[in-house]
Amino acid sequence: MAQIFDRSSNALARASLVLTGLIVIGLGVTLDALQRSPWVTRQGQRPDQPVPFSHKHHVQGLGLQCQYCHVTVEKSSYAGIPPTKTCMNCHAQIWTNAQLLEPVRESWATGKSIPWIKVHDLPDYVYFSHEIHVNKGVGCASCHGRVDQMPLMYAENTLQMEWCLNCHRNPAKNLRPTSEIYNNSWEKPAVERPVWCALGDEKTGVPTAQSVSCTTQEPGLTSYKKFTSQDELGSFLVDHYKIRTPNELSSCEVCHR
Amino acid sequence: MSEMKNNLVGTIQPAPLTLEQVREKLKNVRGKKYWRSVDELADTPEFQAAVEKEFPSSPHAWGDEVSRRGFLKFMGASAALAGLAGCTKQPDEPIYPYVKAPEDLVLGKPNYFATAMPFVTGAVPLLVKTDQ
Repeated sequence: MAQIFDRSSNALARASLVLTGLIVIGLGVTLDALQRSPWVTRQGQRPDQPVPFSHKHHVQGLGLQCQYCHVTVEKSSYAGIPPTKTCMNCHAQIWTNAQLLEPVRESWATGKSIPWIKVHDLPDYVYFSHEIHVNKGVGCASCHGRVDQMPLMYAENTLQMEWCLNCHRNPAKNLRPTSEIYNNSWEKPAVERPVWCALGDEKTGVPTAQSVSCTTQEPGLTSYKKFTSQDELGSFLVDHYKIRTPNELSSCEVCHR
Repeated sequence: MSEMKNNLVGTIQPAPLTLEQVREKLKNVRGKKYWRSVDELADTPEFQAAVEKEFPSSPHAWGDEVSRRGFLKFMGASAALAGLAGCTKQPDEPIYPYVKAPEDLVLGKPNYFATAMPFVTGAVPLLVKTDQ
């Protein structure tokens, strides 16, 4: 009987083995890149909002404090989206005929919500509380970026699990004094930018962080300790804000309850 | 396929049996012999086919367009690709904030109200908890 396959088939068979492997690897790499791409995570994307609200104008330009609108950020898991009433506090007086604000006036007149598009959207199986982060020294800008420089809101970070764990495994590198939480332009302490902190009496019924007072101005008191690097300040705050250990913080049930 | 089914089940004509033919059929039958319908007595080929379809006398090959192997192939493929359903991005989610927020409401925290409920013994004091 004649040979069905000639010698070149050997090479073909080997090549197809290698190719199959390459295709499987290539597929894995592509899917992985896709999952982390802004197309999936919405990182850096500005959805079309009913009103092109500018955080830059209101925060940097006018100096509104974050909590004027996001009132429950210290008290609840939700930071809170302001009711139409909050907009009308000012816009009943100024820019009353602006075309851009028509949806706000319509909402006020009809009693229907302004349908904003969520920019920071965690999956429903993730438990997240603003309250604990804000009261333990994680600043707004640490997660949301320089919101005071964003004309249109976008997600600075991916909000993917990898990103959460990155901080939960070593919170010290992102902690700041709770007095600087709403300071969007806070920078990590350095030799030319020291931070002084002092321990006060431990109070009950208030967030632990309130027993530590920190300042960026030379206090001239011996009870204050001077910090010139994030590492020093971070580990000091971890101790005295009573931040749980990385082991506990990266446990599944912390975020998936 | 469905055409065949109709032929088998749907269109059995009533057996055209005369009394003469019935007598002829039962001529040599002795003892107890029952039948449940004239169709069964007439025992036409159409009737037998219909009975065979409904109550097969022996197991036979899967008579569907999709063969057993084909079915297993599809099931295997769908099981293997089931995880891909997770590889989608979340749809845009709207936020519907209040127009005028209720006083003292902290979204995400329950609200408590002190109230009372009329009862035969008098008013029963109640603490009502509401979750959004």
